[in-house]
Amino acid sequence: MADRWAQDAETGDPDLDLLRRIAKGDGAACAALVDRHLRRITGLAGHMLGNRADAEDVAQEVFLRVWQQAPKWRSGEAKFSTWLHRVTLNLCTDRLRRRRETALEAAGDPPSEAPLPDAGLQSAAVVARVQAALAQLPERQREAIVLCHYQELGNIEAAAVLELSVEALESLLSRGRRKLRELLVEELPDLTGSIS
Amino acid sequence: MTEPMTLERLRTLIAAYGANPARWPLAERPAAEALMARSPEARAALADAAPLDTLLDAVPALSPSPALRAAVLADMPRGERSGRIGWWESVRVLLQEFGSLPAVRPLLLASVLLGLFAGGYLDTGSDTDSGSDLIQLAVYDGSYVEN
Repeated sequence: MADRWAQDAETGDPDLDLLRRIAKGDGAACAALVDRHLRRITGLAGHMLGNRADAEDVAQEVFLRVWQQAPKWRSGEAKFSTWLHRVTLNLCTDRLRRRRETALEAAGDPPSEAPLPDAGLQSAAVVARVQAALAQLPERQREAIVLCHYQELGNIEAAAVLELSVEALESLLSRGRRKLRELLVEELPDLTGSIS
Repeated sequence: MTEPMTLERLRTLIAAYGANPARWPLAERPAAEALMARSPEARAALADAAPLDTLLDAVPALSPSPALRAAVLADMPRGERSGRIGWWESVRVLLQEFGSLPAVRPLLLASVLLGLFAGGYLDTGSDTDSGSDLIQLAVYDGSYVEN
C-alpha cells in the first residue's frame, strides 16, 4: 500500500508537518494524524493480539505515546510511521507476555483467541483456524508476517521496524510461512476451498 | 536493464513474501515477473505458495470503532487557544461519530446550532469562544455513552 501523502522535502517523511503542528498544540493536526494512522495501527494490533478489546487498548496507548513524543520528535532519525509500528509491536509484545504469565498462573487455561468479530459468519471457522496458527508462531516470525503481509510494508521499512537486516527479515518470513504451512497443512485444501 | 533472476532467488522471494508479486521487493519485481513468464518451474512455485496467501488474506483487519477514535482524540494534548480543534472539525467529528444514528442527527444539529447561537449572541461575561467550547465539551465529554 503506497503512501500518497505529501512528503517533507528534506526527510521524505509525510508526517513531519503534522508533528510540527501538533507540537504547537494544533488540535486539527492531531485529528488529521489520527485519521491517517489509527486504522492501520488498530489493524496491526488486531493481527498481533487476535481480539478487539486488547487491540483497541494498545491503539489508544500508542497515541498517548504519540502525543507525548510529538514535541520531542526529531526528523532524520526514523520515519514516523516506522516508529509508530515499532511502538505498537512493543506494546503488543508486553501484552502477549502478560497473557502468557496469566495463563501460567491459571494452570493451563489457554488464552482466548476468539475470532475477530469483523469476519463474516461463512469464513469465521477459517479465520479462527488461521488466527490460531498465527498465534502459535514465535513472536518475531509473527511480527514479520504481520508487517509484510497485512500491513504491506516494503521489505526495507519492515526490516527497519524490526531493527533487522533485509536478509534477516526474509529468513524470519520464510520460517514463519513454513511453520504456518505445517500448522495448516491438513486443513489447507479444505480451508481454501471453503473461502473461495 | 535489470539482471536476470535465478529460479533459486525467485523461490526465496516466494518463500518469504508469498505468491502475490505486489509484496515482493520493488527492485526485484521486474526480473521476477520476467522469470515467471518464461519458466514453468517458477509458475509452479508460485501456485504452490498461493493457498497459504489465500488463507492469510481471509483474516480481516480490525477497523477502529468510533468510540476508540473519540477516546484517542480525548487524550490529545490541550494546547494554547490557537491550537484548539476548530469548530467545523468538531462538528465533523460529532457527525462522523454519532450522526449515523437517525434519532441523534436532528438533536445533534440542534445542539450545535444552539451552542453557536449562545456563543455568538449571549453575553456570558467570559472571553472564551463559547460556540467552539460547547462543541468541544460535547465531543469530548467522557460521560457520553453511545447506545
